[in-house]
Amino acid sequence: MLKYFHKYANPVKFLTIVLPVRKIMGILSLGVLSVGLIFALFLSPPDYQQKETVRIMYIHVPAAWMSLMIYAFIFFSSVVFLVWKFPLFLILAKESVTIGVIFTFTALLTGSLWGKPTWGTYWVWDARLTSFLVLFFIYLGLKLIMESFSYSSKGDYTFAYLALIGGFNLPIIKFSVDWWNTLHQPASILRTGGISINSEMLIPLFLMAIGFLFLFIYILLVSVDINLKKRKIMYYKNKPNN
Amino acid sequence: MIKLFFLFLLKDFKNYLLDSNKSWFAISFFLLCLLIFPLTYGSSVDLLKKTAIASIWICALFSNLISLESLFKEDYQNGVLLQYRINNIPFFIIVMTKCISHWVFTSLPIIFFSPIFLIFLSGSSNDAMGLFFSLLFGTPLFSLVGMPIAALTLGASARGPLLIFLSIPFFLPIIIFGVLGVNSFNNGSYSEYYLLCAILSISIVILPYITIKILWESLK
Repeated sequence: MLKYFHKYANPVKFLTIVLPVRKIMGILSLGVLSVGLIFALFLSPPDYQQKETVRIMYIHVPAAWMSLMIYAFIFFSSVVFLVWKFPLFLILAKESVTIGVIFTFTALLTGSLWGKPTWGTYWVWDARLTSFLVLFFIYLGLKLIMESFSYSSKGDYTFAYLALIGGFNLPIIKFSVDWWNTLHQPASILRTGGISINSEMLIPLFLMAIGFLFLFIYILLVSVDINLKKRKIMYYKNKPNN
Repeated sequence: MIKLFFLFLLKDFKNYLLDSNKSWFAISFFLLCLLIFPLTYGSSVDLLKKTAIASIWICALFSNLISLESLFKEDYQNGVLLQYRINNIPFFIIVMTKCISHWVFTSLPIIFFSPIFLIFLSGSSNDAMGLFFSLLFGTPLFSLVGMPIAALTLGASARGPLLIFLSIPFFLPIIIFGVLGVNSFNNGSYSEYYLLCAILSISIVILPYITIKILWESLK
């Protein structure tokens, strides 16, 4: 397992493998997202209780899933970086922070827009919303700490340790709807006792989630490519007697 | 080992006591912060009474945030930390004594005089006991959680604002459970206190270890 890691943790080898994958991911995400949006906005039925506003769910829920998943990804790549010292995983973690900020902001914004017609308020300070806001601020902190040590190895370890400490928030977000009485509804997909949602709504939801996942992988691979090329330029610029 | 621990503790206490700037800064900042709340509410005593506990907690949070910056700064800049590392002095002792002395000189005065502050903000005296215990369990967490973050930002540009921005999200759960605990204390429910104790006992085990690792990385 570790041997396999070592073989492909080399940035040059990684890029040669990743280049075709990136193209496929870009095309797939475009296709899946457009089909998913057609299903979500036109073909799926309106909810009997929430009417047409239920269509916000097809953006809100996948964006929230993605922001949690991206944080988990950052967490595990930071652990891999701290334990085995693969610089590639650090670059992967660093480049996914910006995407995570955007997904978290999308989830918060669509959630508050959805809250007005259904709950009658844009924002309440219940456990799920507060812990999600804390996640947003942890993302911003990661982004800030990246900027304050530019291109030094100390900043790398700082970033990884901060990502490690911030991981405490993930289980709190996941279980906040079960542990406290919240206005936010409890989970209806990933729960014990099976899925409690109609299949007509489930299909566009999963299509959007998969589309977002592919989009994340595509943007991540593009930005990792850019980051590696930037590092190469920096290296040749600072090299003595070129 | 235990002798070394007490030696370092004495050194840190002396450091705080001799540097009057360091020992009085946190508590005077706390008092100054506390002054803002009655002045901004105007003449409504009712509002002040309701928010007395929350404002004491907020002031405790801010005075901790302000004093966090000086936790490792001096020793890092003087190169004393590097000397400890070279001479193989166990970092666990250094980290724990720093944490204890920080707690004693920033939070312990606040905890002891909290009933007086409560009366000062015209809060009800029934809450004094609850506030005392919630501060007693909550403020060590401020020092413990702030420690790795203070170590993380060593050597960063614009350290003070960065430290405050990074530590507030981690302090939020503590302040939430602290204030909730006081409110439910009079009803005979201690669940928030148990939760704070649980978080405290987990953090005492894990966070010094993480801080040591971060300090080692920053000394490379």
